[in-house]
Amino acid sequence: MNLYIDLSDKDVKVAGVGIGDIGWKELPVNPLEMKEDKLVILSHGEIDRIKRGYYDYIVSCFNDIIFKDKSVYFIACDTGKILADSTFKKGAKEVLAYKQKFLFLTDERYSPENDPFLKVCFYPVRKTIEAFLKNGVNEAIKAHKLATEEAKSFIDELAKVNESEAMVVDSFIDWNNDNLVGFSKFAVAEIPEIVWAFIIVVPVLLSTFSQILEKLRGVTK
Amino acid sequence: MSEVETKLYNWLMKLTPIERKMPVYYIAGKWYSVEEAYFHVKNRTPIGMKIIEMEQKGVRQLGEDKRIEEAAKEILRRLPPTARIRALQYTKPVREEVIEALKKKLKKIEEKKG
Repeated sequence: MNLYIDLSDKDVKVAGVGIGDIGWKELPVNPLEMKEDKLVILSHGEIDRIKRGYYDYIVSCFNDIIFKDKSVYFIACDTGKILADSTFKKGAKEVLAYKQKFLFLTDERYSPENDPFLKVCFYPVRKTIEAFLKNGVNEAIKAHKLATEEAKSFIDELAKVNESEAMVVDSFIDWNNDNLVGFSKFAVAEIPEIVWAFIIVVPVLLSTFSQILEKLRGVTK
Repeated sequence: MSEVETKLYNWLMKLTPIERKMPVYYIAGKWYSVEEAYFHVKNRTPIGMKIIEMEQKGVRQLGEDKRIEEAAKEILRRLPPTARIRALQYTKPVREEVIEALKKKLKKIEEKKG
């Protein structure tokens, strides 16, 4: 289990419902109990700390050394400003965080389990967690961006429920995506354009060639 | 088709369905989306004529920044009472950031106008 959620506040609990079916554990009192190499922490955040309840929990330049040689994704407000940078400098392999407030919207007409607005707000986060655990920060950032675009198709459905709420959700998922920051010790493996061209052109040439061959066969018969 | 009508049509085509409904024009105490603006311009209603006049003269409504901020607040005013805006932090109210997020979105919409 790699996902840890702080259960001491209603907003985080509600957010937890948005991604909780991934499987999670409660954020432990002692951060050293989180033994996994890749961690996802959903909690309240401030620029230099992530919180457990009202008490300071993991603070930059203090105990963020616990993430040394680990990869961590903070789903919390403002942690991309100082905490992520400090954690990375202390030896974390990869860090992913949000440099501004992480915003989302719910509607009290629905229970959190059935809230369509909550689901769409956390759709990019769910996809990012999957990519982060599987492939690391660079792929996770791409997944977040892609899922933000995918979420636009759900916005139209939300608009049928309430247009203003859909507008707010639309702006929030863009906002959260724009504020995602990543630090990684692994370089991004970009595929050169010439390789992309090769990948695209070769199948087209092969199919054209096979069509010509088919026609020639028809003529010779 | 007038120049303004073409401009609005092209703008409309670049927007997602929900972006088309966001408040953009403020005329005589009321907000109009790009979709509504296009309808009024196409049918040459008094509002449409006002929009044509504004677009031709390049009139800046309220001052651009102020208008975008007011448009963001208008979206929040339209929220139902059951809507709850939340953030993953304890201490400060997030109204400022919420307005910023909406302003950013509205600016992106305006950029698509070209």
